[in-house]
Amino acid sequence: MVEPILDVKDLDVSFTFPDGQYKAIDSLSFTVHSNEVVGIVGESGCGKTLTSLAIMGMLPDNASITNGSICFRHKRHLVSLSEKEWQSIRGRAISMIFQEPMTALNPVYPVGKQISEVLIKHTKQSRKAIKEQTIQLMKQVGLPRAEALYHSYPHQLSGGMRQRIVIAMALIGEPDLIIADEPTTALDVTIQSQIIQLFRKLKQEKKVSMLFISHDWGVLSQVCDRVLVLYAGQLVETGPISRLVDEPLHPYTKGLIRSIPDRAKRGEPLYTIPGRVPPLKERHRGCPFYDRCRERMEICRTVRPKTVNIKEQMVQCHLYTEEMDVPSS
Amino acid sequence: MRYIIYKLSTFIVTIALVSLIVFSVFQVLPGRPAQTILGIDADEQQVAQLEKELGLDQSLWEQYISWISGLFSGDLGESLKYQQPVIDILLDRIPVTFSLAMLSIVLTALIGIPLGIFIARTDGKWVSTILSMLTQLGIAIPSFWFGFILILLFSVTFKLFPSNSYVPWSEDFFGALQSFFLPALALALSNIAIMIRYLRNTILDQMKMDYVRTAKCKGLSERWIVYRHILRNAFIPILTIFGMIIADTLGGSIIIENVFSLPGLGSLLIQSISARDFPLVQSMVLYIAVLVVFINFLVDLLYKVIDPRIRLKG
Ligand SMILES: Nc1ncnc2c1ncn2[C@@H]1O[C@H](COP(=O)(O)OP(=O)(O)OP(=O)(O)O)[C@@H](O)[C@H]1O
Ligand SMILES: [Mg+2]
Repeated sequence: MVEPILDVKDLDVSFTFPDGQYKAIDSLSFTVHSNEVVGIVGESGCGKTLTSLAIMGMLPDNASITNGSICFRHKRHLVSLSEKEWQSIRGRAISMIFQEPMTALNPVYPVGKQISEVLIKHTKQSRKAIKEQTIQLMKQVGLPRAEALYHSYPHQLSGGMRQRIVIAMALIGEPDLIIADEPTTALDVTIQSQIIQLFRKLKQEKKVSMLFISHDWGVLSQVCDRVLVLYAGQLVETGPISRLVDEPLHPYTKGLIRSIPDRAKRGEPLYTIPGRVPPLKERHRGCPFYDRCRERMEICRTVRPKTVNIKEQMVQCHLYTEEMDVPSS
Repeated sequence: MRYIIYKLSTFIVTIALVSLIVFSVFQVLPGRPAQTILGIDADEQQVAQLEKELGLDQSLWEQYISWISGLFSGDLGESLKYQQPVIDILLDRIPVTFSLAMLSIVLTALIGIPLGIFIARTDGKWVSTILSMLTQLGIAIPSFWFGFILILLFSVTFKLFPSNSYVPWSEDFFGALQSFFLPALALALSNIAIMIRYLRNTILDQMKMDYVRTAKCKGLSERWIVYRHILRNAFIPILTIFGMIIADTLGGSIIIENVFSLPGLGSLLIQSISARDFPLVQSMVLYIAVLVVFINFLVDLLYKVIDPRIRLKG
């Protein structure tokens, strides 16, 4: 099997508060392979952003990695790097795309320069070559009149154009991995589908590998190969996107799929999973979803379920056992 | 262009209002200038005679009009005390105050901006904490007190600077610089403290912004982020604080000039008020007011040059 680009193993991320340490990410393991787009889905507060910040080495001051490892290209351990080493990785080896393209850009800095400074930082090319390369890439991500746009300021661009700038910024260093944190959520529907098309094109033409965070199963199914379902900082299910949509195993995934707005059921009230993600300080040792689960059993309250492989899916739930595993040949 | 016209008309209206206020205030002040000139012994007839000569017997409106029309032709009237055209006296004094204020503002920028950046970048470390405490002191202590301390330290104890010998630029450049340095520093100290605190807070606020997180994700160093990204955004707040500091410096120079016996507008103002030299005082107050309004006008225009968001909206 090919070595993964990103290999996260047993990752714990904890917040330190005056009254103690609380785990926000709990034994998270997953991989991203070359030219693979892996989605992360989960309700607000599940730890999606925290996971990406941990990979970028940009956790907030009161958070730290307390266990596990993040291996990048199977040699670099992205834990305990110096700030200098991080700087050589960010933008060049791993880059990030954010949700809100207006605030993600510096309002008083020309957008072209905001893209090209990645190359100024990471390469030794001449300024002229860098500018040419930037304009070239701006055209590739679908920005018209790139030469003129190079000198524009963010407020002069539409939301969709700004997000294309942010995407160009993430691409220009030709990173091995791009992390996109809800890159389409802030955009309106037509622009959203254009940006999704762009991501699909990038996957095909530029062979990018991505970690793609989204709430939206529609978006995920268009761009992702595999999806990780995160709940309260734990990975509860993963598998190919089509499997998860058609045959979700974990009661949480089932709930998420059920709450997708469906044209056929127009007029009916939208299903929502009752309850909410437990806050950091109220997480207990059993199954994290116990409080809200419709299929819970006594064992779920006290015992953390093991990960079980079922066909191409992996699920962390007491409803399933290894015996049910049908090995995929 | 619309923006400039708008700002320009506000500027003109403000000046007109200021001139009216300045004029009225001095009509309300007690005391008759003619009496002051002639002395207590002069009788009513002599005073009335002099008032007629000076045009002080006309209606207030006529006096205002003739004052304003004089202003436009460069004729600010004649000083009652010095018996000299006001304009000559002012032209004599302005360079002194101007040099003092300029030097003080340059000192504020040269010391305040780097220290503000330094404190922001070392936030949380003990150097930063100590400097922050010092800035509290700097703001609390009035400039004339700094003036006394500096005289005591550098002029009396170490004899490095003269304390009250004014040397004009035309005579001796370094001598002039020496005579301006201490008063300019005294005037600058609290502004430096304000600048440091303000810049520190601005930079720390900016550091929390999303665009800084984006910049970090590109692998840029903190130094690059502070100088290329944050300072660009901090420039507009810095400009605002500079507008305020300049106005403050003009006011502060009145006292500092008296502490250091510099023959500038400040010392002149105090002398002419006690002498009830209204034409002189009026022109000076108007001059200072116009200057402050003009600086604000300039700051507004500079915003437009610097901030692309305003530049393109207008
Ligand atoms: N700076 C912080 N201080 C304290 N707790 C935090 C901080 N940042 C995040 N958390 C907590 O960590 C958990 C995970 O947060 P995270 O931002 O990763 O959620 P998310 O899955 O990205 O949610 P969303 O969909 O709203 O973006 C949440 O419970 C949140 O309350
Ligand atoms: Mg998030």
